[in-house]
Order: sequence, then structure tokens, then C-alpha cells
Amino acid sequence: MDRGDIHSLVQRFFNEELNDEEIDNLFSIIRQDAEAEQVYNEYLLAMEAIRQAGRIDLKTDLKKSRSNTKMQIVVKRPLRY
Amino acid sequence: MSIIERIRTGDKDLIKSLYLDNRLKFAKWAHKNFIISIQDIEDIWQDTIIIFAENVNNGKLKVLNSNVTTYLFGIGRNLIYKKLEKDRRVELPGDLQETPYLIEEITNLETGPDKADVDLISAMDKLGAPCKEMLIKRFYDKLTTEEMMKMYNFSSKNVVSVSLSRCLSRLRNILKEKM
Repeated sequence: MDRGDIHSLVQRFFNEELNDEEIDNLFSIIRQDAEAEQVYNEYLLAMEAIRQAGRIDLKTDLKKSRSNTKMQIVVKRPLRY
Repeated sequence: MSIIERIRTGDKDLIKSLYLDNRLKFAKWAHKNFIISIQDIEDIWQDTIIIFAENVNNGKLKVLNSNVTTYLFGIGRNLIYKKLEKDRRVELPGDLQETPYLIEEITNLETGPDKADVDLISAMDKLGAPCKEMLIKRFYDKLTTEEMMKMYNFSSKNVVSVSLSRCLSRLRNILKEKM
């Protein structure tokens, strides 16, 4: 299996296009091949980048809503420390 | 279509309306039951909605066994406990009964990005808006390729897959350069 195949397999894994047998096969390759493991880790990092960016986008959307509706609550008691 | 299904298909207006419609109610409830600042309540409510949306998208939450507001308040309550425990500076008044099944829903709560996060986020920004949006829709909002095909008016699911592959490869290369 060449590097291109590994890329394709890893991408299909993250895209949830692999069946159980193919996933087993991929994990077996990753365990035995340091280069495949590196490719997998690089895509894992890419997934984390997407997750972080998605979170920030959602947070930004909510913050816009938040600034449009200022919350007014009368503080009835002091904070106790 | 149920609330869960609507969020799964990327209905961000619904997320915003859940956030806005219950925000003041949550703030009043939190203020009445805990000694916590309004700023903290605002932050916790925002995190509550994000965790809820993520739990739906990643499949941790498939069915709502209670009213959505009750569920959201459950997450929010646990986040308040977590915050107060972290601060260790106030006494908690009232009922401290825990709901363990909800604690499991609280994952990866972050207070702010560290340097590594900033690198990841800037890598996403370097991709450009169309690629960034597509990757987020597919891998964060968990839209299927079929849903994306309709959303972007692509001619086939294959076109979606190819576009995603290109974007993902570019992201990977940008990250490699940074490492």
C-alpha cells in the first residue's frame, strides 16, 4: 500500500465511509507502519482544528445574540467569598 | 422534524433560539439558587448550548427523554457545580443532588484557547472561507454528504467527497508546515 492509498483510506475513515473490516485493516496498518501512523495523526490534528474552529464559530454566533440582548438582573445579595 | 433531527441537519437558527428563549429563565434560576456572577452565568449558558449541540452532533444524545429546557438546565447546573468547585470559594446553598447521567454529557469544557489551539484555528483560517465552511459542516456539524450535496447544489455526492478530500488535504499540509 503506497502513501496515496493510506491517505485515501484515512480520509475515508474520518468520512465514515469504511466498513468494520476496512477499519480493522486500517488500524492494523497504522500499528505496523510508522509512516501510516504519522498520516493518521496528521488527519487527527486536522479534525481537532475543525472542531476548534466549529466551536469558535458557534460561540461567535451566540455572542452576537448575547450582545443584542443585554441581561438585566438585580443582584439581591452580595457575593460571599 | 424533532429538535434533535433539526440540529443534526445544521439548523443553527434553532440553536440560537434555544439560547435566547431560555437565557433569561436560566439566569434567574441560577441567580436564585447559586452565588455566582451574572458574567459567569452568561458564560455557562453559552457553554451549555455548545455542549448540547455537540452532544447531538456527535451522537451522544440521540433521544430527549425530557423537555429540552429541562435537559439544558441539567447541563447548566452541572457546569455551575463544576465552576463553583473549581473556584472553591463559595458555599453552595440548596439541594446538591447530582444527576450523574448528565455529568457524562460534559466533555471538553474549555475556558479559552491556548497556543496550540490558536495554531489550529489559524490553520483553518488560512484555508479560506469555502473550504473552512465545508469542513465544519461535514466534521463538526456532522452533515452527511447527501445533505451537503443539497445545501451546496452539487451534482453528486462524489463531488462533495472530492471537494472535502481536497480541503482536508490542504488543511493537513498547512498544519504540517506549522509543526
